[in-house]
Amino acid sequence: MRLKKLPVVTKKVVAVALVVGLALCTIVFAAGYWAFSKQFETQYDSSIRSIASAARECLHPDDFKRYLDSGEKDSAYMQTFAILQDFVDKFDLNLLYVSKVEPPDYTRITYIFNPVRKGGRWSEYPLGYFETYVEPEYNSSAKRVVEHGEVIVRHTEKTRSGSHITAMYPVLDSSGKVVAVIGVQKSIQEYVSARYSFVNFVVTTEIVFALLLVLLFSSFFNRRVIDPIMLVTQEASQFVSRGGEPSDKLLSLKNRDELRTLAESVHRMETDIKKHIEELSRVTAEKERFETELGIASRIQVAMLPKVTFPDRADFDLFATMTPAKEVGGDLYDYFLIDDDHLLLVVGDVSGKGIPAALFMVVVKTLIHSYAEQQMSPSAIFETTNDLICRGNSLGYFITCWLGMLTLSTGEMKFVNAGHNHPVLVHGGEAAFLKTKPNFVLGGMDHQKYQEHTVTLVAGDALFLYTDGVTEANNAQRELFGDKRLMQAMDACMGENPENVCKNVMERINTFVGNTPQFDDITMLSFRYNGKEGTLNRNTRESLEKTMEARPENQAAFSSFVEEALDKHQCPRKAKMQILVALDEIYSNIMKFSGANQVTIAMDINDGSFTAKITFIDNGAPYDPLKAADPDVTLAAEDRNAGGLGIFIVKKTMDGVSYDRKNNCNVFTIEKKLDA
Amino acid sequence: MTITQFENGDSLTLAVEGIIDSTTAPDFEKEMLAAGGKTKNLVVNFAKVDFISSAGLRVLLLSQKKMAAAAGKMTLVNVSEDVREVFELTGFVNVLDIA
Repeated sequence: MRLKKLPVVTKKVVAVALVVGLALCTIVFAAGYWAFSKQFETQYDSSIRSIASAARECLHPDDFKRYLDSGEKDSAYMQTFAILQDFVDKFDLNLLYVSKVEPPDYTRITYIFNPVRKGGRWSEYPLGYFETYVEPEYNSSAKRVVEHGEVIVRHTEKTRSGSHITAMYPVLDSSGKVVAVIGVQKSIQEYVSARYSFVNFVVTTEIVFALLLVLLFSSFFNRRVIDPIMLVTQEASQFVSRGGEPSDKLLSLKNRDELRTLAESVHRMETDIKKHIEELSRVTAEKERFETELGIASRIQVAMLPKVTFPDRADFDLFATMTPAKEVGGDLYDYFLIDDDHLLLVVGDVSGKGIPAALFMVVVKTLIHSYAEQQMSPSAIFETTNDLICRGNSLGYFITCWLGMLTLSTGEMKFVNAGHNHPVLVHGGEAAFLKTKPNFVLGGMDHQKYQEHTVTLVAGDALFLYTDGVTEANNAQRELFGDKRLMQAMDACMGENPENVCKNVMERINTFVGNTPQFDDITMLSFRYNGKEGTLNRNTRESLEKTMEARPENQAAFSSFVEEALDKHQCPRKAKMQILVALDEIYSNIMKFSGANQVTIAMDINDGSFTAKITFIDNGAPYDPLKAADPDVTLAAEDRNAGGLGIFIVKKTMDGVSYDRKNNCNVFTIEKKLDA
Repeated sequence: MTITQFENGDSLTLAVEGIIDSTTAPDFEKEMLAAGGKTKNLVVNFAKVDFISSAGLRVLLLSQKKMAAAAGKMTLVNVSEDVREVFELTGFVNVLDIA
């Protein structure tokens, strides 16, 4: 049979009870032992003193000298001896002696009387028997007795002759002089044995008592404390394995204390948890179902947005993207070719977000699409759509919308704006909002008129349509992305293809908002018109680079490299000349001051923004020409020198100059607008 | 850059053609100083100068100073719009005698 594993708490309690019990017993025992010993000692002590003192009274000390001198045992001697022998017998002494102990060291003993117990282990020393006994304790005791007349009682235990007690008294003659020592020795073996059995008895009793106590205590403790705790612990830990079923065993506890309260609390907690789990499972299941449906809705919505980007059309490029703030969004965009020559572009934003907005968006998008397919004019599309959605729009949803219809052969675009953000039009390398007085939102009020506007695009022009999710994206400081940042983004990606424009703007928005969650749907539609024939080079941005040894002779090669690149992009003559002057100034500066052994010229020409960016990189000593002060150009000829003029000319003729020190290289950049 | 020189009475005319930058400026300087030593009235025809960099300006300033020191005169003629712009930018219009 295996022992039931004891709970740790029980082990601890038993251990403590044992230690406490044993400590208690030890104290009691020690006290008893001490009292017992003391009592015995006192009794023996006084008894041996009485015997010795009484025996002394029977002696005739004045005769001792005569006995010792003659060695004769006369009748008086014999009488005294008989009395002393009687003492030995009656008081059950080991022996009794009367002897002369001589100074100075009290080792020389001459016996006068020496009766011993009959049948004992000692033999009697006859009168006049002399011995030299060297035993420091005895010798010093004898000295004290003889010299100071002290009475000495000695306990000797566990010697070869057993344990005994000895009393030594001085024997005085009639003149009061100590002539001998009387010693009485009695066995205390009896006492030692008694003490031994006392100890035995007490220790046994105490151990039994302590064990009993521990047993009783731990059994009580187990039943009333440990068992209930174990029950609660067990039931609580089995709660999960029981499948979250509360345990009724907890209520069967018979305690009427805090443990009962604990058990009840645990039971109540289990009941509550069960209830909550059931509730949670129900809600989760519902939420899952809802999310699945929402996911489907989101996929349907995305599927409704056009995806083809007309790669076979050379006359335009476009790209659009919608990022809903929730699974489904209220933004919409649409584009399609009504016929071979007419392209429709639509961007809209339904008030509100989520499913209601998405439903509304789907309706509006479908209506606009179908009216456009029926060859309606932009204003007619908006007016018809508006009237239709105003009917039965009891919840007051509305949509801001911008719609443009472009005749691809002429670049003429008719557009209407129903309360929507002004798009950005890039025309001739300049980005600006295409501002017109907007009309009322769609769905706001019926019988609205929508004013048609016209703008004519030329090859290279671009249009950027968006919803307010772009301009109203906010960061942690509640700042808005805003028109200004949008324009900066548009300037930065001038000449890029529509996909890159959208990506660039999105990146800037993401950098700006940081970790702030997206609040509104973000929709962008970027469009570029390449002209009727699609003549515009689609790759309107070119980056070139040339590296050569830093020698003055190489300037000509660098010049022709830059000139060729500029010619390829139809750079106006004047701008080209100014750039070549700048190259001469910067290159000769590098030759003069930096001590470089290698120079790289990198060019970035952008036909969209009509800019050329030329970067001079040399690995020479740090040298920032922009640090030099501008020369005074108002001085007379005799007061002037030509120093510093070169960089001054560069600064004046270029649209931007900058210096940077990167990777142990001087990086000098000039920017020049290439428009005539 | 090519420079053609011809005399015209008491004046000496230098017709410059091409670009005056740091690579051509040393030649330009040599011709200008040589011509300045020969006449009190130096005429520089800039009709065919496409552009001039600061290196060229330095030569013009130097010549102007030398001519003035020798009580002579240096005149630039037929300066193109682009080059004039550089002269204006740098304040050289006030220093040079531009016809």
